[in-house]
Amino acid sequence: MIIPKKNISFVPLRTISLRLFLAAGLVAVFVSIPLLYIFVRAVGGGTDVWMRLLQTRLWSLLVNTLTLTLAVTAGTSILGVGLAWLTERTDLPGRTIFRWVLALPLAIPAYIGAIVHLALLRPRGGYVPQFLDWLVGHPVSIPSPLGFAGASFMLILFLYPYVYLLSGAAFRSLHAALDEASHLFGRNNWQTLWGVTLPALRPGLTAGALLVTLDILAEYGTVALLRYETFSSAIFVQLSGRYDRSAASVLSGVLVLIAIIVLWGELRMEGKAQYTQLDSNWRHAPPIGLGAWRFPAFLLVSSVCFASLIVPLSVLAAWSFQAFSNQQLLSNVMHSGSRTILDFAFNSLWSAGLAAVLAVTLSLPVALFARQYPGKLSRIISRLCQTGYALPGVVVALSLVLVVNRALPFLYGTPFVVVIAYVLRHMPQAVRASEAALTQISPSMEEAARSLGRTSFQTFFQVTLPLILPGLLAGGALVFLTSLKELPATLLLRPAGFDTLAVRVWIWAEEGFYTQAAPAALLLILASVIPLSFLLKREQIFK
Amino acid sequence: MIALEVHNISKSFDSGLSAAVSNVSFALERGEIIALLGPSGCGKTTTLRLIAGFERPDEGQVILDDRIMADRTTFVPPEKRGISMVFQDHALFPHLTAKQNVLFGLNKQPKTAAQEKALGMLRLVGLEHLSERYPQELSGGERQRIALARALAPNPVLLLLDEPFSSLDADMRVEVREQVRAILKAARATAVFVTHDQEEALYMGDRIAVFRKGRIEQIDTPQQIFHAPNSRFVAEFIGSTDFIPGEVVEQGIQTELGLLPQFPELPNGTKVEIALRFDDIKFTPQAGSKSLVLERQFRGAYNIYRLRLPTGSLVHAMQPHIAFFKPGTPVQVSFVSDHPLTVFHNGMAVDH
Repeated sequence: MIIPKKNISFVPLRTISLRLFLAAGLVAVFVSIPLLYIFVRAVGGGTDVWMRLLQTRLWSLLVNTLTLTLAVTAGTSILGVGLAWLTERTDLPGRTIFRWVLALPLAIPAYIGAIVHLALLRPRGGYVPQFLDWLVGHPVSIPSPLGFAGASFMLILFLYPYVYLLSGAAFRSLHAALDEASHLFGRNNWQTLWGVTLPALRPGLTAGALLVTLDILAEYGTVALLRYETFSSAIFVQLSGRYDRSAASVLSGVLVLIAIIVLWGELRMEGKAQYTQLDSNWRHAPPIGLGAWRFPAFLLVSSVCFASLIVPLSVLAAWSFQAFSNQQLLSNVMHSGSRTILDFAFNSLWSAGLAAVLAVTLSLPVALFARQYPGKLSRIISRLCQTGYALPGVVVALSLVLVVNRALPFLYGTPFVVVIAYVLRHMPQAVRASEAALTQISPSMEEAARSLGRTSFQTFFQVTLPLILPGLLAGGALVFLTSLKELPATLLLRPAGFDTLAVRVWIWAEEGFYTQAAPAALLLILASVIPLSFLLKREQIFK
Repeated sequence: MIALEVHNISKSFDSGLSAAVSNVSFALERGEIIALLGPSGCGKTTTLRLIAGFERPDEGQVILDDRIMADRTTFVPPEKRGISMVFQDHALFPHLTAKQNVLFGLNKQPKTAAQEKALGMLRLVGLEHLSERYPQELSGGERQRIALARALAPNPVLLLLDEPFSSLDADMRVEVREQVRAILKAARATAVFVTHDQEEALYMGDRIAVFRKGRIEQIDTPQQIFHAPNSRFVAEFIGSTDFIPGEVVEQGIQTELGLLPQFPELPNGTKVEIALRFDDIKFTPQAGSKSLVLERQFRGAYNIYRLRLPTGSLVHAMQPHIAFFKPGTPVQVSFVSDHPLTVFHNGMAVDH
């Protein structure tokens, strides 16, 4: 045996993981504080508060929230999968254009869409009733857009793109051989759709439906506008109007519990469902001929585009045109007190942008840890970072009001609290994007860099980071997009005078100044289209 | 001059995702190429990763050029070992051109020297003209050679190759492996080469270590491994081998193909197995014989016939490409008696 001359260095592997573990752990703790705090407050809310709420509000809120959630989730699932199937798998006329037009309503916040539709359809003074009145010469009653039916209709109209995009991606990744095999076993198109295609689609569908469900639980603007009370709007009222924090905490606790149950259910389903796989022999399945159904299908898809995209955009454009042609209105649009519309836009952009950068940066140690040390510990950390999904904007706001007041009083009343709320709420999107980006690169890539003399730190910056950058950008774009649209948390947490586009549109519209709100709303939609189109390009739906 | 010494290394995994190794030892002369050969899950890749420093051994030592890389108290991280590796998927950095990939390991040299060295390496692998291409723009074989150039550029003490040809199409594999062996020998590289393809191991390795279930079953020159396998497993794994039963008697070994004049040091009456390769038996048609031709496999330059012996044993025999026999032809089968055959008792080779 040879006597060693010297040991050139002594680096136990554990030190590397410890640094990363600490970073990932801190992020997990940071993002799970609001959740824990809400539960502590909810349980410690006091029996009298619980009893009072149980006797009065809790049950009706529960029924309202759950029926709306069920109706909208079911509606978006049917509409989303249907549209995805029509544009991806059939010979629908104009499908290549529809493919991306149908995704664009994602850039329109649901409450802005609801403002437009409400202005059109409201029983008294709505444009459509007025027009019908003029047409037939006497008042015509049309179904009221307020309440459950209206809220379901508008939320389905503006939330279906989640399901549409994710199930569309699943349709695209299906191997043609799957369909062919089914046909060889004697199944017709219809049997193949139900027996093979849709089951294989389930992961994409459940992921999309989950996003919708959690979005409805968190939705404030639309339901408040349409006077349909859910947990989110009730908590908002408690916080802003009556300022009853214990009642708000109890309601928040119940709401978060519902969200966690939904999330848990999805994670359980997801665990078993990973059948979309691309191999080198992958090819597109040939489109299915719609035959006589081509025209009705075309009509259906066009009317969805019309209601969810063309109507909101053209009404907003018309209002904006009105505003610009009136000197007084124009100056109201451009200035609110000492601030201009550019200030609002700037506030929107920097707060959402900072939130995106922070969320992606914080997600990196979590994703890296999960990849390098897969196991129970990293799974717990990853799951904790998903808690943002279960935190509606109002709940984040409530818990930040309480926590920041106590622990970080110097932050209170600054716009940074708003940014923190965005980060907490949208962290899961960033974590998922970073984890997905990391799984795209083979571990041998990093090992190659190590064997060519780079430390793990250098390897990250010279090899890993450049390779995952597009994926990180996508995660950032998603966080930016959703932060831009975030309404309740901004409304509740913003310091006096910190107006974003979303906030200004909401306040003006609530006061009935539609024409005044329209240019800001268009600007907000425009700002959302940029990250959205980046995301859609990555999805490659333009093929 | 010994370049690499591996002493009794063991490694096990809780997850079961990687194969364990136990008590693996071997040494490697400078300029030598050793092939680690075995079926998947036998621990050969784990051994390679232990040498590279991507895994830390539970037990044992890795010594490189007289310096301890890993033992109970020492662990040198991979970037400080001076080892290079060619990966199964080549692992070329997609954001760098071919030349930048080769330059990646030369970052500690002065710029002009590094440039010259990189160009020299590209010339060595014959891809100088493609130096500005990105990996996605190269064919599988070209990527393979760039990966090799990148690994050789920093003058590694040791080069590791992890199934480097498995991602290539079968028709390219033979050509590329000839080029790679020539390049390795021209660069006088010391290399450890992992493969599950016995033909590749026989061609590439100066020596071959056959792995089985985390242990080395036999380590020897290709010729020795082929002609004198020390276990039934090695004989079966290297080259297509048939086995027929035999019994030790006074005059040699009695088999259904007749008496084999070999004298193992075993008591008379002991049951043994005899390994038969295509060229170890011959046959001629003979009416009334109980051995039959089952099938002919035409291999171009020769024919392989599958035969059924009277006891039901199946064996393969080689015949010239012009020798045609119909299935069902009764034949007389006998040993080719120009060299001794390997005899196994309880799965292990016996001396004779």
